[in-house]
Amino acid sequence: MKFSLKVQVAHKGVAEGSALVYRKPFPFSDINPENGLIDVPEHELKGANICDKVLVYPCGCGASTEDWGLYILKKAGHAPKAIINGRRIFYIHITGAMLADIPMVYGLDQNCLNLIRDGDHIKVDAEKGFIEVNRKGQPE
Amino acid sequence: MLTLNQEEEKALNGGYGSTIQKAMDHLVKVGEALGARRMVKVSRAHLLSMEVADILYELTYRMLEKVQVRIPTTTNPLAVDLNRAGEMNIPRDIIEAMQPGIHRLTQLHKNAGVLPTYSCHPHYLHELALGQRVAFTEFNVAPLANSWFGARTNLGGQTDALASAVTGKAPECGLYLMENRWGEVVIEISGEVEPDKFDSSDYGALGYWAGQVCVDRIPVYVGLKKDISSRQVEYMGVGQVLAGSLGMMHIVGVTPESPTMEDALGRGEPEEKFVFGKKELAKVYAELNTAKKTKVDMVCLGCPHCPIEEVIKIAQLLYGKRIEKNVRLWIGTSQPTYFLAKQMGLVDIIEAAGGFVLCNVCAGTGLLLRFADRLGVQVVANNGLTLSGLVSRRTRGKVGVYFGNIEQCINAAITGYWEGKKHEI
Repeated sequence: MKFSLKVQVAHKGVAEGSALVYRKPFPFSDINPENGLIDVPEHELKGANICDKVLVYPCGCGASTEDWGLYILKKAGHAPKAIINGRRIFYIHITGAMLADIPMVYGLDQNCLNLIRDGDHIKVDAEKGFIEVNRKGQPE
Repeated sequence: MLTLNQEEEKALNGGYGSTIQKAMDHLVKVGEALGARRMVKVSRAHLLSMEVADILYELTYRMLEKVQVRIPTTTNPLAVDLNRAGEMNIPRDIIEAMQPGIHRLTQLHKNAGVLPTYSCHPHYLHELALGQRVAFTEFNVAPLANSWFGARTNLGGQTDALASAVTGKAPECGLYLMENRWGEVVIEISGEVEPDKFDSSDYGALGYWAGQVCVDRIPVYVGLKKDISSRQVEYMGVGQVLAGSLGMMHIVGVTPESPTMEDALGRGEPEEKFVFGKKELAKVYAELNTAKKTKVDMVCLGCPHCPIEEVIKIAQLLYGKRIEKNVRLWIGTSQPTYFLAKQMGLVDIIEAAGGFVLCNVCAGTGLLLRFADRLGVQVVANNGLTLSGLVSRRTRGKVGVYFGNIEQCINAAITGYWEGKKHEI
């Protein structure tokens, strides 16, 4: 199965990777810069590795340090490939994507966001403003 | 399509030097990301100074190098009071490691003309007005500016606030525009939780729960008491941002833009309605009380900084008492509050009891994020929810947190133990 969705661009670039989906507001500070793992106790994604993933979450949350959270991850070599957000974007996360130079898009309503599942192969084109979702093992 | 005026073009093309160019470039990129059509003037900015990490200095230096801020620019607390670190029993090597960073940051502020408020409350220096555009970072300040004063700011980060400070501009998008400020969901506070008797921590819990259920949709609260204070709204705002992407709320009859429910909703229908009752309140307390042991190593009040009424309450609770020998009690305040408290004899009462009333610095959150183990802190009690939302989560549970009201916190400082939770499930 394969489909495309139109998105708004928060930070330009083109990247692709496997989707890691979280259905709640997400702060970058939940990721350990030393290994790229989400290691917050009782986190639904505890143990998940964000390295080279396309991170999908409805919007960000958290303190002002979110501003450079992604940059720290990038410098440590444990950053996601791209980020997809829902309808809106957490203002501070835009700067985060800029500093880290990671393609970031948003503008998907709840229904569209729900179409994306863990493990989908996603191409994020934050130049032209679309994402392409590929799911193995399902008919076109 | 973002259109710039002549002056903004010139700034973007380097006509005012490379720092201003970087600042304008940042504002343009954010504006393009959010569909702004023009830049607007902002009249105040508020920066972050608490993080001890080099990255904060790097980002700040990038935007303040060889320039002066163009609008009154305040800043939030520093990480630690270097002059009192010894008596506060903070290991010397931590202080020595932090000292150069704090000095170069304060020097940078001085050179750039940043007002050294070092306070969580920039409005203590400049009142904010309805419709006034400002560029504030910090998760307590921005929602308060929007929701209590009716001023307008996005939930910007350090770079956003700095870029606005040196240019006096911000892209017109997000919460600067009325169309993005309307309430979208309604939260009704059920009578069963007795909102008239809410403590500071209950307001924080409410905001946190709202952040979880609203996600990115602006809430309209109904059923709160009419004489709610700015401090209580501030706690709600902190909760909202720690749990969701919500820099704004409406409290009908309180938020200047929302005298009625119709005004709050922009004459539209709410997308969804929620009820905040006993079950919801208990759920938040269960989630934010992460400590396992009942022995408390530290009590941290004033994150965000205590207003004078909280310092009065703390002094009343501590009058003639002595806190447990091995417990640290740190209370963060801003300059006006500190001097008032000093004059009123409150600082002496609290410090005679063994606590520290701090001024210009963070109540401890910044230090705990990095040095909790060196400070010997495994369990900390607080009444705001920053420690639960930040310290406990970021230290991956190594620091356990108790979250309750001021009485419970002071009681823990005196006895050395946390005594029962107010809200059992």
